[in-house]
Amino acid sequence: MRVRPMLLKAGGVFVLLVLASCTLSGCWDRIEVNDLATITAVGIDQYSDNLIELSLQIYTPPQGSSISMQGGGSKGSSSQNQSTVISATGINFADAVSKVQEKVPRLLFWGQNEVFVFSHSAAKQDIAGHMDYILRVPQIRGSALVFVSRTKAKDVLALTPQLRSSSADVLEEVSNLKIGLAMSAGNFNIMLSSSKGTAIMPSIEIMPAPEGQPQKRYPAITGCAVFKDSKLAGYIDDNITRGVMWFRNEIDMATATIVTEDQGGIISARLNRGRTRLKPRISNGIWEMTVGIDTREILVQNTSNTDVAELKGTRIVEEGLKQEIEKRMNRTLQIVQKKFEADVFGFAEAFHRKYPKIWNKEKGNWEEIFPHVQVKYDIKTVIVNPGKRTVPTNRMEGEKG
Amino acid sequence: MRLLMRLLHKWSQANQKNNSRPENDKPSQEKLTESYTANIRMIQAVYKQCSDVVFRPFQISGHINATIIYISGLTDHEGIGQYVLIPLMQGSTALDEGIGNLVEKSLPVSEVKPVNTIQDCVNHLSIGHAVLIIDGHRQGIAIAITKTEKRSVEEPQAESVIRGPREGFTETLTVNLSLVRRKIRTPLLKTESMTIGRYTGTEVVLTYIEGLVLDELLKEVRTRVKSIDIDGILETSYIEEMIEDKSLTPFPRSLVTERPDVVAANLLEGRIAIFVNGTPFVLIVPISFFSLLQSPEDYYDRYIFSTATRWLRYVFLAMSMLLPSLYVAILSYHQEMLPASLYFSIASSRETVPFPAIVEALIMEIAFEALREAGVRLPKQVGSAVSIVGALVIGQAAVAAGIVSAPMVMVVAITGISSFMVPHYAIGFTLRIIRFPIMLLAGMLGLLGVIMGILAVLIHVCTLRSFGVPYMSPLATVEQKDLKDILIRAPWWKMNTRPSLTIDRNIHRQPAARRDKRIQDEQ
Repeated sequence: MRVRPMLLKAGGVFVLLVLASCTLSGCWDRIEVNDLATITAVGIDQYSDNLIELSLQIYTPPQGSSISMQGGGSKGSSSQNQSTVISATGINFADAVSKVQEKVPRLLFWGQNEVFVFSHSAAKQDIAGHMDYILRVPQIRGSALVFVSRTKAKDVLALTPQLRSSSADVLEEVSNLKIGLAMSAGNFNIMLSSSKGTAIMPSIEIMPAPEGQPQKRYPAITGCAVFKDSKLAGYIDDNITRGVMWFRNEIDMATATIVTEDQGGIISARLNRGRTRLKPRISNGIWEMTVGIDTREILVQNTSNTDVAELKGTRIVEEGLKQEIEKRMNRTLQIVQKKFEADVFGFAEAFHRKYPKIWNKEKGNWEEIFPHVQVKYDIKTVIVNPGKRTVPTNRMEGEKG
Repeated sequence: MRLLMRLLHKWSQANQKNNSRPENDKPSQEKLTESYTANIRMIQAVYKQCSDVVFRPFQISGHINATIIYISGLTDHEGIGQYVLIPLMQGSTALDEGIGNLVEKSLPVSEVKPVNTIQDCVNHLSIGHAVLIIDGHRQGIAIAITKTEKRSVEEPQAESVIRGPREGFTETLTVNLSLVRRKIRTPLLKTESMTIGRYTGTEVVLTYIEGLVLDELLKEVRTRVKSIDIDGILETSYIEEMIEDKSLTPFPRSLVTERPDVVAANLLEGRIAIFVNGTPFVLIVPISFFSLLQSPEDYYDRYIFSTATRWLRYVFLAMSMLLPSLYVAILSYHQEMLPASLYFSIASSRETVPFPAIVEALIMEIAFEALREAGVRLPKQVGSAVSIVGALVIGQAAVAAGIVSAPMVMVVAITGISSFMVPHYAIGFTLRIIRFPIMLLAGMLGLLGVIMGILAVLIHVCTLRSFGVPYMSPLATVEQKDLKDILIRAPWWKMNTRPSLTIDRNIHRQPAARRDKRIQDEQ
């Protein structure tokens, strides 16, 4: 029954604290969802030489009593136009944010923001300053995706696409499919800082509206933007982007199509699993990179005479795929290594790891070295699955080839 | 809290000062005299203004004055006529050879005892025996012709099982003891009886299995129960609160059950069961927190299902304590923790709600508690009306009126259901009470507050003991052997040992070799 006085005192203090904090309004720094302006996407445009225009796509919950539980009738209309775009100009990112906050009657909330869109003009200027704000403010997610828009970023945010609730949602989900390159703010920053401002970021364009619905234009990822010295250097198209993804071991969904010469038909195979390994070598002052690729493919279409049910046919297809991949990667090298001279493949890191001493000596010269790195390929492709059907199209079932 | 403790302290001091016995609460220890009329008068004086006490004078064999005294309703009228009055009035017993002769020859009743003092008489009368006072004798005779009004053995209301015995204790002590004795036939099953309650004189029985129970434990329980000096014991809860180690805690440190099989199982694990006459609830000490989370059916179902059920229970136990707090914390401090689509759907349903999340949660939780309490107290006929109104008001109207949001209703509903998932009602109550301070902390400090709350509860729980057994055992002070009945429910052929904290010798339930043999057989 007896309780020690120490404990009693502690208990008493605790109760007092709780009671006091119930009445003191200062002890409640909670923020209700109702008081938040939830940012779903951010667009950065260059307004003039010195000013940027920041556009925030803000989630607007449906107003009025339409959200009551009864009936699902309101559902259709509430999914429409759930966001507004509010913009303001400022000297830098932070300044613009404070200007937007003045225009919004709720507290800006960054915690749910998944998308940053830089316009072409903003990316042409230094992007590192914007990245600093994005990575410094704790509330902003490092996992938010970054994009370069070839048009005005504000226009991208204002789109009301059809299959998704907002343009931010479209971009996020498309990136999740991993068809194209997906780059988060955090990873982009790592790339920027580890290779002196060389990095890539997916680029987006506004696609024309589906027929009969002029309102329903939507953004889509079309290739990549290449950055040098934290500035936009140029764009690479979809195909080259996929080549870059091969180099970066990021390829996930890919369908390769080859035309077999002797059999006169087209064969398509979908990537089931692919892995890329960079094996650097420095000998006699020659920097050399062997790109080892190991893929498992699934045959998805075969209109040639090749019979993949036989080992010979499989070998032909595998050889064809191998050449196709190599061709694609060579093309990528042509543009990225020779034209842009931008190391977005992660070669620098690979050399750094394998030859830390040489790297430390030579890292200042990397920009001169990179365009001359010799690249070799070591590609293995295996058809693991010929699909449901084993015979080629233009042969009847059961007929022997 | 300090105020509360000071009050408690004051009360207990007042109690100590006032320790003198209230006068006239016990009849005198006076002995019966040889004077027949004086004896009768004395007993009449004790039972003055007791309309239910019957004094029936008659003559034994037509010449010796005698009176039979009993309390109508407690004693069997017909029995008295048939087995006492008829043989005595019609027989030709001479009383020269003393009362013993009379008892042996003319009283065809199985249990008969001589009484010497007024106190003895009163004791026997109060439990339904009849007392025979005979002219010229210093001794009376107590005749056990009790009539007990008893409820039949029914299925227990509060602890129902699908598989397992369906009998439950009743209000009658003898029936309850017999139910246990039927399950455990060994003479080592001991039932120590004592009478507690100055006015009620309630029979309290300590039950244990000799050789399994720890001696010190038994001694401690016995002293604690015996030291109770109160006017009345009407339910086991009186004893429960009086013998607890530390009372300022919402956690029950003893198990209350109305199932004989639960009592038997616990006796076999070396625990002590305390029966109280007049209530179907039996107290079991000492226990740990986990005893309260085990349902008897855990041991009757297949062990795989029982293990799964136990884990389900643990998960929902945590939920019943934390779900509203987590909801409040995340919604008012950590909005970024929710997946975007979930966040937007919650945000849109909260848009018209005028209260902050913590107030909303408090309103709903309190309303739920009120509904639950109303449902328990109301007569069954009205109960359904309450639940309909409650479901409508809380579930639908509140959301439609925009007072609370739909997700909050869901959270409260899940919490409510999970708090009823605990097999013992008492611990469900505890968790529901703890929920409120944690909710306040969540409202003030977010997840930090929730963690603080959890830590405080954990620290508190780890300091508790039930008759020396750590409350969180066998998890806090890990007893690896005993975890087989906590983290899982081991199959019976693996349940080799009894819990080590209540047993120090005779720890094996079955020969350990048995299991090995079984495995050999399988191979």
